[in-house]
Amino acid sequence: MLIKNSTTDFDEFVQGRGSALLRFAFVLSGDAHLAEDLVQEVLARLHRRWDRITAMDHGEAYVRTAIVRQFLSWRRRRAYREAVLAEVPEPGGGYDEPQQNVVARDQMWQLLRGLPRAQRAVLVLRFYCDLPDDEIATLLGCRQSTVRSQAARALTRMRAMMTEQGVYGNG
Amino acid sequence: MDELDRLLADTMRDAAGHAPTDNGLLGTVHRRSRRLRRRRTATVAGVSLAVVAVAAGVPLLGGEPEQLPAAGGVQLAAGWTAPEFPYTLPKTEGMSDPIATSENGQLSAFFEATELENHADVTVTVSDDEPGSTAKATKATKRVRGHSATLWTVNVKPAKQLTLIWQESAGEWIELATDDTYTPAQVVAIADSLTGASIAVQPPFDLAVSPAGLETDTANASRMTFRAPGAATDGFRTVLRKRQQLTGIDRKVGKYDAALTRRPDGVTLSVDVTDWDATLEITVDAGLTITDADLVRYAAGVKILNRSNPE
Repeated sequence: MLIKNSTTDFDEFVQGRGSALLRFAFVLSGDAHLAEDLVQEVLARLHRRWDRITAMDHGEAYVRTAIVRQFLSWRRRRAYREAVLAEVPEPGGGYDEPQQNVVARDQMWQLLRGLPRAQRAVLVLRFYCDLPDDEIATLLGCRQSTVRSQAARALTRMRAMMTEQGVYGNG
Repeated sequence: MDELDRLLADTMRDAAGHAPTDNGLLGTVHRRSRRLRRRRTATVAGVSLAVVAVAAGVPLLGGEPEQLPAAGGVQLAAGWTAPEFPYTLPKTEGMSDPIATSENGQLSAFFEATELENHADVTVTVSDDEPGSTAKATKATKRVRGHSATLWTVNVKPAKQLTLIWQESAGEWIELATDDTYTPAQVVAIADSLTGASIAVQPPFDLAVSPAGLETDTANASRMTFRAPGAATDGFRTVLRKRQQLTGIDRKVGKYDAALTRRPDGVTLSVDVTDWDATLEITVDAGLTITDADLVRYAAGVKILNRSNPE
């Protein structure tokens, strides 16, 4: 973690890790403006408590946790939920070629954007951050069984939809 | 890790490359941090003046609080009365307290699910007319609160949308919308559990004065609009937007630069609210007349609240 001691100041952290936090927030939210809002809001709120955060061994993890929780509690749910799977374009055929892999990822991205926030958060923490379920549960403040059920539900839905769309084969 | 897992991981890594850059992030964060520190006292009229004026219950730029006449049109009256949403659901673990809003004259209450294994977001809307739907949906007849109701199911992914609609009384229709986290029977049970309440709409601004005789049309995170009784549209709009470059700056509202523009179809006062990195835009359509002085006075009485969210 980059926040290792209390002498690392807030500005250095933002300049050093801001880009990574924006990438994380973008993958989490699926929306560039919302990602910027999330990161800005969380950093602004943590600014005044920075001395205490720098004293932590896992300060950056604390910031990411705050971003996830901010995302889950964000009130702008209507705009977020506007992305629906029905808008996924029809595939053109098999997906063995590189260009078709790009199309598959685009379709997968659209499917992800349509998931409920909590399910999406679980998938992002598992597949983008490579966190185990127990750490995801701690981060989200829920039971491991909840993490597993959220992930299973999301994956089941996505698997069914991807199969319908012919995005991937025998998986 | 199976094919779907790998595709998910690849998709997320690929998408991360399209994230916004961190150009200007540090400066923006510092501005927002300063804004948070000021949030309880910031007003368009200025911090100290606002606190004193609100506490004293007088307009922020002086004058009498009760009647502030405008020539031949909109009159400003002290304060603003929030519309109230008339129902609520029983307090349930895993569901947040309701947040009431008004959109185009329709009152809604949003109950956000905080525990997502057994609960889903629920939105209840009250309207004068029967709600319609253009989406492809299957319909089922239910019995709700002693009334015949229709349950619409729209089969979209990843979650089916369930909407229950019934006429509660003459001139009052209720729409309860959620998703297939709940079974149809559970949706009906939720509807049956509605009880009478008075949940005040949460506005994005405190208003020292508001247009007298106009009805609140919309009060959400970024705008408060008002409609003359019987009018088809909201003729008096206050909107908080993400900061825009002002042109034609010709005056100050409190300490902030502002531009007032009169056109055949109405008048707009835009205020550069630098503390909030936003532009406060007040528009009064031609059907409602207001003097420049009253428009500025109205703007000066707008206190932007932390719950606001520029659009």
